[in-house]
Amino acid sequence: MRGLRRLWERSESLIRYLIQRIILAVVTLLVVATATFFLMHAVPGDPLRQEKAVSDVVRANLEAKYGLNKPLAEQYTTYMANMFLRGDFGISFKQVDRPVNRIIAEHFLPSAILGVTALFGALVFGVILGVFSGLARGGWPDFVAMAVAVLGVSIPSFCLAYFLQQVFALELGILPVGGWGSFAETVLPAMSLGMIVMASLARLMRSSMLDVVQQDYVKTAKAKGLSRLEIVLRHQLRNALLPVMVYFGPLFATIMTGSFVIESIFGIPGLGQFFVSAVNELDYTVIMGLTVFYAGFTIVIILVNDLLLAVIDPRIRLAA
Amino acid sequence: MRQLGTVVRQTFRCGLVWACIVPLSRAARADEAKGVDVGRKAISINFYDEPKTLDAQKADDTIAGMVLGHSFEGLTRLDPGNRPIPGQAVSWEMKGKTEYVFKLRQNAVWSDGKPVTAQDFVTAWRRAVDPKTASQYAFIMYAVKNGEAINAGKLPIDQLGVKALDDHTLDVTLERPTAYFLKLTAFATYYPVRADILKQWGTAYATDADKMVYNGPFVIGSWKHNAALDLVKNEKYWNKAQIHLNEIDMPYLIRDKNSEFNMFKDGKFAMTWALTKELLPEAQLSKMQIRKYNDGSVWYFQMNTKHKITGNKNFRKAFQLAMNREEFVKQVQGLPGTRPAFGLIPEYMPGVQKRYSEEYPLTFKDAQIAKAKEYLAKAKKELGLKRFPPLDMLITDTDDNRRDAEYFQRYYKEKLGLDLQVDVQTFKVRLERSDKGDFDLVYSGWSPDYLDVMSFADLFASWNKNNNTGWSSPIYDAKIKQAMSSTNPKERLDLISAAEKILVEEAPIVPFYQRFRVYTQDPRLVGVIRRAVGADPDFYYARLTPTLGKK
Repeated sequence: MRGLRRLWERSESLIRYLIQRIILAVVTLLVVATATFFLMHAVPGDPLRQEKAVSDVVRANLEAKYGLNKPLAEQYTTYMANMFLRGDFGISFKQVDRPVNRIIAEHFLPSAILGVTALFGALVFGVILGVFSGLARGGWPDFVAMAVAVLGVSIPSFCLAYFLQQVFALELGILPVGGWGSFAETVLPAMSLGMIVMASLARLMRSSMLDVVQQDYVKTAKAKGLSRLEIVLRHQLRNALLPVMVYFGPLFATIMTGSFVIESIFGIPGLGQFFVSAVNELDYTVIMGLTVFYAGFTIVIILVNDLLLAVIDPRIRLAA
Repeated sequence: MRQLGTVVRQTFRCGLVWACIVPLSRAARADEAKGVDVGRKAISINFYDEPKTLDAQKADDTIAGMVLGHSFEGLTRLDPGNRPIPGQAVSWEMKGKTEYVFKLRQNAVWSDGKPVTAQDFVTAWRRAVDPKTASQYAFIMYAVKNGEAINAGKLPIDQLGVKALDDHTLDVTLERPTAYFLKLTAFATYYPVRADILKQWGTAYATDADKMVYNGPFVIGSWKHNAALDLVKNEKYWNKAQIHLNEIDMPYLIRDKNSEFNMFKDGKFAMTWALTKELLPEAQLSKMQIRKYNDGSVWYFQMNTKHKITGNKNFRKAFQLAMNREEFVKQVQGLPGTRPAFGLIPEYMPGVQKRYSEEYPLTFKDAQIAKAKEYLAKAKKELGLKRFPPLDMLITDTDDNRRDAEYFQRYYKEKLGLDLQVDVQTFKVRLERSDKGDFDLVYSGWSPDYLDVMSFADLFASWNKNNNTGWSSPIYDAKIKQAMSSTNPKERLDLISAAEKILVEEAPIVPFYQRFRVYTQDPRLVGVIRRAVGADPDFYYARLTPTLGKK
């Protein structure tokens, strides 16, 4: 009976917490969308002007088609209403007559698959490297692991991408140069994308491990006579992972939404390319759609991350 | 190393690839992608950019021109020498100077089996000039009677000078005699469209491969936006016996030129779209077949004649005469073929009998520094200046533009002591500021829309909206107007050449180069036509030959 009541109390506070977070999320999205809308319109340049100049009537028709002939305030209210009430981001200026919703839906998946592959690899290898170098502090495994980590952080991803293409695709011929559609084709881009993450994770993991080694509970575990493996896995690793988790959440959102450089080198139809091209082309609707989508995605990921952290670390209390 | 490679490959295939199957449909196909498949008569090339639209009346980029040029056909099409030959029209006759009657082929059908009728052309052409369509390329239809007035909203669309006399006879009345009209009818804006298909799909028309019908030598088998596009031989095309290739697959969209070249080296692509100056030495070392072609564009500075300094003719002459085009082309561009430009009209344009450049040569001495200094001294005196203030040189934020601008900055400082400030802007901002005249000189270029001198010549007429110089000349305007209505080839080109000489004399623009592209191609693939206008590359005449062996 008491257990049930405690559970109810806990879930009640959880629900209250979630509601508060959701309200906060909506407000954040509104602010982000509003700021983007007005900043975007303040950027110099004419979204409808193309290489070849058009007649005044054609120009007027184009303006009417995209609603640019209306006052900015009206454009804003129409756009916000369509976006928040109907979930409609409008049609792209550049990809004539293609709905922005479809662009996001079609191109998010490749970015997400690539992102998950890259993060999974980075997490596994980063943690392993970090743990080994933390345990063997000052020894050669530490030296090698940290050399890899420093290289990983300092080599720009496009250099790494060309290097991987040259070695694994052209010299050894074991992986495709580029393209998208099979698992083999995700390996090189995932490595190029994940290297920097892996390197930072390894460094973070190492310092975190060194930190944990000096904690009292590790000494206690040793005194209890637990085996080395047990100490590392059950006591050190679990606690050392916490700072890594904090770092991981926001990173997840960034990596999942694509990388312009990696996508253009490997020919991946992801979302990353549009973050750059839409701004260059002043493709208003795509800029808005991507910003709001990215913001929403980040908010969700951070919330999930916070919840997970609370589950893993009992010291964390959820409070709005 | 090879053994190690095999071992690793095996391990990889067995252990990883097939164990961790990612649920993606193209898995098997992507492994197969092959640049050249002689047996299947298929090639793969880079889908180097997503077309903005595949609606022929609205299309305006080169990739759309390539895809549409293979999947549609106009009344005429261009042969390898860029001369118009019968396409969907089997024959035509001229009545007087401004009327054409086209006879359509009885066996010309759409990909769904319905016949191509004269009405399909009427529908398409009216749609192109309809202000509601808001096509960037409406201007190319101004050759047809009332085209411009309709596009400006002054006349209803049914006033366009095109009529279907019956299903297979199309009567076209021109606005004025147009010597190059049969070249225009090969252009995408002039391709036919079916009214029922337009009605069925509304604004979604041509946004996907299954939302359109085709009448060209190929059809679009699949189109994954920003990812891949596949052209498959059209079994209903009237001339399908002449089409050798069964498939032109564009399985990957790779914008990065280094990666495109790597894909070519790996045998995934049958050709590259273009090589950079940096990739050229490697291609040469590997003994690849390196080809070049003129992409048709001419590059120049537009001088703002409304501004104090650049408005001074002597200053512009000094700038024009001092320029060292040979040095620029050889050292800065460094791609074989690229040619200096002295005037506006590119060398390859057809003349009366030979090429325009042979019949109306236009060159003056490059890099005349001493003479330029004289002009500069005159300009200084006229403007009452002790020294010239820095000038705003507006450019687009591309690597090429930056490199070229930096060269000119250094060059003019060294030779004439001029300060050019490089003003880098995004494409859209560059265009907007060009329109507003917010620059002293702007790095600009032009690619022809049809293979005739007029595609360049009218650019700097006072009524042309692409003329950002603020310069106008009644004599220049008059000559262009006269040339527009002339049907005598010699008289026309005399007028154009005279107009071009005015442009050189007054120097509102200072041209400097004609661009060539360099690319590699699998030697088994032959007969590919590279063009400055229309479908480029053009695979209509392309064949695969096994005899040459692997590259």
